Amino acid sequence: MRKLLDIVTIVAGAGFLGLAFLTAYEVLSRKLFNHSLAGVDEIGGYIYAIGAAVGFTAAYVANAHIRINLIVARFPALVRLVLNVLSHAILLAFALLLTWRGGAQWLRSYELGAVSPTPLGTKLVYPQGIWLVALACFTLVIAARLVRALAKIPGEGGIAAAARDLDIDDVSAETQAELTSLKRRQSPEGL
Amino acid sequence: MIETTTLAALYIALLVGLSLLGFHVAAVMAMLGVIGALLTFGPAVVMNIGGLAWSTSNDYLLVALPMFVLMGELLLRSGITDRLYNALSAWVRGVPGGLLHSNIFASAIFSATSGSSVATAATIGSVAMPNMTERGYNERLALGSIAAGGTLGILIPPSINLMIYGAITNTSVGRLFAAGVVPGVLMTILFSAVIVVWTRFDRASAGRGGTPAPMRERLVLLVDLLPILLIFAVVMGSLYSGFATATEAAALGTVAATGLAAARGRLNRAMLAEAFRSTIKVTGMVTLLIVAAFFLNFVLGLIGIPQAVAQWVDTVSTGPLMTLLLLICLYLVLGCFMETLSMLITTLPIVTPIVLQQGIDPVWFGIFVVIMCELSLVTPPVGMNLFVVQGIRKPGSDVRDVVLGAIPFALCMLVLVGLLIAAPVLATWLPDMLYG
Amino acid sequence: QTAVNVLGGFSNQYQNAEIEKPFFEGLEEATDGAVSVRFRSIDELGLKGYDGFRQLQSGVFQVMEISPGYVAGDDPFVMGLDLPGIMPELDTNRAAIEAYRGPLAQRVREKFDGELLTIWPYPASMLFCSGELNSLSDLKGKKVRVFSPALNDLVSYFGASGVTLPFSEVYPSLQRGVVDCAIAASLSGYEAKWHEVTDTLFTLPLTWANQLHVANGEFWDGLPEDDRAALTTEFAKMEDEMWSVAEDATAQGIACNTGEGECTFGDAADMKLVEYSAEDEEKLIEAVNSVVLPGWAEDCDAAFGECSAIWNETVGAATGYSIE
Ligand code: NA
Ligand code: NA
Repeated sequence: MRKLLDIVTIVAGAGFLGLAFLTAYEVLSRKLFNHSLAGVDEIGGYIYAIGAAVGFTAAYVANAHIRINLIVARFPALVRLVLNVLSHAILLAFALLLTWRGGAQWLRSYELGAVSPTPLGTKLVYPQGIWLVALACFTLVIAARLVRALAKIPGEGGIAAAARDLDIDDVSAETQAELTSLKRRQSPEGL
Repeated sequence: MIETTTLAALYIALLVGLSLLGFHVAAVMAMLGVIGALLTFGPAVVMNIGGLAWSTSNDYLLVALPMFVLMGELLLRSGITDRLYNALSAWVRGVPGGLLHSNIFASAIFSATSGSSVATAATIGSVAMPNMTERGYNERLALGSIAAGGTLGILIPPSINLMIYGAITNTSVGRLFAAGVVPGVLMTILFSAVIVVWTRFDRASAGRGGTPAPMRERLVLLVDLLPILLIFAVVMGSLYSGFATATEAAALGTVAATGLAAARGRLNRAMLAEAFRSTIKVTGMVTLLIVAAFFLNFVLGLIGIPQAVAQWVDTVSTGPLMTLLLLICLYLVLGCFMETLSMLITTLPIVTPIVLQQGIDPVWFGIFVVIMCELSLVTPPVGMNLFVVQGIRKPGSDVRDVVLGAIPFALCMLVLVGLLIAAPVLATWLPDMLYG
Repeated sequence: QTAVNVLGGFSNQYQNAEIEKPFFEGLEEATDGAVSVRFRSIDELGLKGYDGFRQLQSGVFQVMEISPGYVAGDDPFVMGLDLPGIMPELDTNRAAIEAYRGPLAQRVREKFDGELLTIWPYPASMLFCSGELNSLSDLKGKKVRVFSPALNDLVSYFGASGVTLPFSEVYPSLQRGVVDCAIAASLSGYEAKWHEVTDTLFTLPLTWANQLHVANGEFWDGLPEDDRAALTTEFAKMEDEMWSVAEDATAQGIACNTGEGECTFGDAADMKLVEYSAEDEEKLIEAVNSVVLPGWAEDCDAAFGECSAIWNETVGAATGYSIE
């Protein structure tokens, strides 16, 4: 599952690099040859929407969605567990709402045969469809994590373990990653 | 009307309160939006969130965001940023307080390629800290200079915060970027002045500067500044010479960064994968906040909260100056408790109409708000740059060192806000000159 | 009393600020308290307008202003009243719209459960260009900001390349030469200060950017008979007012941008005024026949089989065009 998410994440990131090259080509050809590729901006919009939706999950798995770890860290495990479960449950509700209403949006686009009101006239069901799948994954991943954490409660030390599973990452994890990356860059052979 | 202003106060209290309980900030915003909608208009408003989310997340202006993130990632992971720092430190090593200045200057130069303050602090910090402790610099001053230097990331263009400000308030991103340049340079100078003054009164803090590198070596190292200057020239040059819009400038910068990484022989699959992962993660994090904020913005606007608050401010405020003072207080308080982007995104819908109504220039105000955001990055208890710098240190170090070290720099930011209010032309001169 | 949420157009547009907003805010009084209105502008709520019909159906707003160009992706038929280049004269535009009103109302009702209340034009949209532009053939090689597929077809026909940009980026893009020309209502261009960054105003009206007010069908049908009648009367008055200022606002836009005539909106700028010639009109007819109509008809017939037949009988008959 993680492997798959990682691959999708890298593909989405590569999409941005591809978009950068496409846009650069558009700018140069417009400036130098006075020829404009219509619709690069529109394609960029779709790549962004889809990349961001993939990013919802990627950020969630990396604990990168912003939460403030100011007072929660000081609470005992039981209180932390309650707050953490609530926190992830609210995020789940938000993701579910986005998926449900995003689905309705897609369905309507399908019924209307909607196209983008632009020179490209893209059939909206395609970009919206991929976007919707990414949203649905986001929802499922939250639900799965919540269930897995809750399942730990009955065991010995279960409350602490469940609370830890849903805890806020402090910033040091990210900084550690930066430092590791730095060491690797500075080693003679580079990356 | 009183009812609506009470609602606004309740909204801010809930937002801060629930965020402090560790809830995902984006989910808190969405939840407040849903509850507000259900209480006032019923479920129909909530049903709209799908269309709203789609139209927000394929916004043409915001496409620049992932591309600027990617550009910074490519430069960082190809080692170009590390070499920049080393080159600068070879030059300033001999000066009193030497390396401290290179923290500030390297941050300022790196800011010209990075849209984020946290990335700037993390990058410069992780390169700088080992050097600082080795040479016996005053730790507090060193930590403070890195935390504060990093904040320049969002003032000196490109800047994610200015881009989001532009998207929400419908202000030209090109103008905003231009407006950030002069205040950014001023802020760099002010930060350097802090170091000069501090090291003059406390000579021990300046550390053992070490022997300056030989001139020949220094000149050779200048080459390492070129890649960063090239990127700046490509991004800003294309933006202001009529080549490109903000999004297109980001694309050109990304292509140039790819080329530089390739030229250094660092463009390989592992490096690209790392850059892609990081870009997607940051993009997802920011976009979820933006989607939630646009929905909340829609609900609040429908209820009429911004309009009511604007009216209230209009009655208590005696003019633009008073309004700005009120806003400085508001942002100082919010900035202590909230993460910067969420603070920006949640307040703009309410604050912008007030400010426009008072005849304040939206481009100037963008710079004002971004400096308040910078301040929030270094004020405890929630200050991302403080956390980042703390994260770089040995485990178990006291976070108070970072906080105390950052205070003089935070005061600089307030001084700059004062200067901007006294002379708005500091922000408006460059965009006016470039755009007439 | 019935509560009505209204979503108006962009708050910085002259007709929205001076006619639409006051109209809705005065509606309670005008209907003797039958309705109470909460009016919001589209920009105030951070909306873009592309999902106008969908939003109307969801029931948040009981009445909305809708721009055909924005929602044409959901149903190309609405675009039939705003195809660029087909009606340079305001009178022709009005005649075409009167002919199209019935079929459009029926279509909006069937497809989106909306009650069509008004149709009215903005001031004429014209080309603001850097450098010289003395006739349509001078468009060759220029980069023109466009906002609809049909407009893109039209400028491409003359050898220009269409560029899409958000409105806030148009001013800096004109100034920096990212685009050479942009199209906007004469007065909107003045209010967005485009005259500071362009030299030539080419007065050929390319579109009137006709707008609609549409009510949610369920809401409309649920109104008491009297109220519905009262509202119908009031909306008709507003529509007339919109039409009556269109000509004047177009002229004001020209006067304010070029200084030819008296400008009552501020200091007049000194753009070069270029009137269109009979030759330009001929070229425009050619372009409409060869790209605009076929392009639109293909999309529209795919979505709605009778589309071009209805259009020929209505707008076509009023303007002298016919889709083959
Ligand atoms: Na920056
Ligand atoms: Na803070």
